[in-house]
Amino acid sequence: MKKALDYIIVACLFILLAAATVTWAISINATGQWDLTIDSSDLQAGPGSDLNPSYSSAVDQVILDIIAAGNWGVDVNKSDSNWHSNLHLNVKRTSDGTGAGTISGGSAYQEITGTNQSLFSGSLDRNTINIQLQLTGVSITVPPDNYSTTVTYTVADQ
Amino acid sequence: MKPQLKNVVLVVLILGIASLASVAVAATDNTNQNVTVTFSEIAELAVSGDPGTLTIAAPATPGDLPADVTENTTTMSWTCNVGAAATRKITGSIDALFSGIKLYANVTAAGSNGTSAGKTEFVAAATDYDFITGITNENVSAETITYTAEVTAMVAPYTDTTQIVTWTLTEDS
Repeated sequence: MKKALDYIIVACLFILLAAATVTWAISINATGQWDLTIDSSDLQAGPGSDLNPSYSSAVDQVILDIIAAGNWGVDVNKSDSNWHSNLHLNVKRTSDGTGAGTISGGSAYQEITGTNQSLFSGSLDRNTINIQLQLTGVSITVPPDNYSTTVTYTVADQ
Repeated sequence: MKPQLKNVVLVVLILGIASLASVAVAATDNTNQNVTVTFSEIAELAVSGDPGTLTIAAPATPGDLPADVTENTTTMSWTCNVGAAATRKITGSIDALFSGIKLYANVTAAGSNGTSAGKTEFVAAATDYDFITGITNENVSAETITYTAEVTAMVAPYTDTTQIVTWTLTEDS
């Protein structure tokens, strides 16, 4: 009977150990958004000239915080509400952030499309990762309107 | 140990191992941010300056009216955009007419997607006349403005009389 009890106790400890190791979470949070207005003040040289073709946000327009216990990668895509085909939205990482882990990649502009694409990767926690956005393809041929899109950053462990 | 109890322990052990194996599941999370771009309506028009004086000269043959005089040293530039299915036009008006003279203007539209009305008379003062119509999204620079003064009757001579021509880039009806 005592031996049986020992077996049960060991089995219960095993289950508890298994349950405890399930709670491994990864998370990403973004703060900031970009609102850009283009008007006559953006003409290159007054009447007769076209608009400036490219606009950049602040270098820390968006800040990402990542909590992770291992290696991870961040992908990016966008979902358009109202967009013009001439406009291209680009993104790059402008700082390494802080934390115990590592970070690499994503330091050159890449276009954000409707398809998930790898942006950068790293390990463990990284906070205050600065992100800069850029809009290109602007010209007077784009009709006046309010254009909008939602950018999604996805972190996954690797 | 009784066989039934042994079975219970065995089942519990197997469940524990299965739980441990199921820990290796990829974790993921995502976050969103919005990007909005407000493209404002733009309608910018400019002329290069004032034209030179149109000087009416005596006719070569007595009894004739003086010949028409033209002046084309000034240009017009514009940048505009419009919403879908809309167009803009450039109109001109003069604040007062010259005595004994018909005044015309002609604005070229060689680099425009609009259409020039050609040589157009300022028939009445303070009235808008179309000079270029059907303009959509474009930037055009240095289109020539040609003024023509046509003597219609001999009047008392006058010098340095100035009238103001106002050019307007506006929505086309």
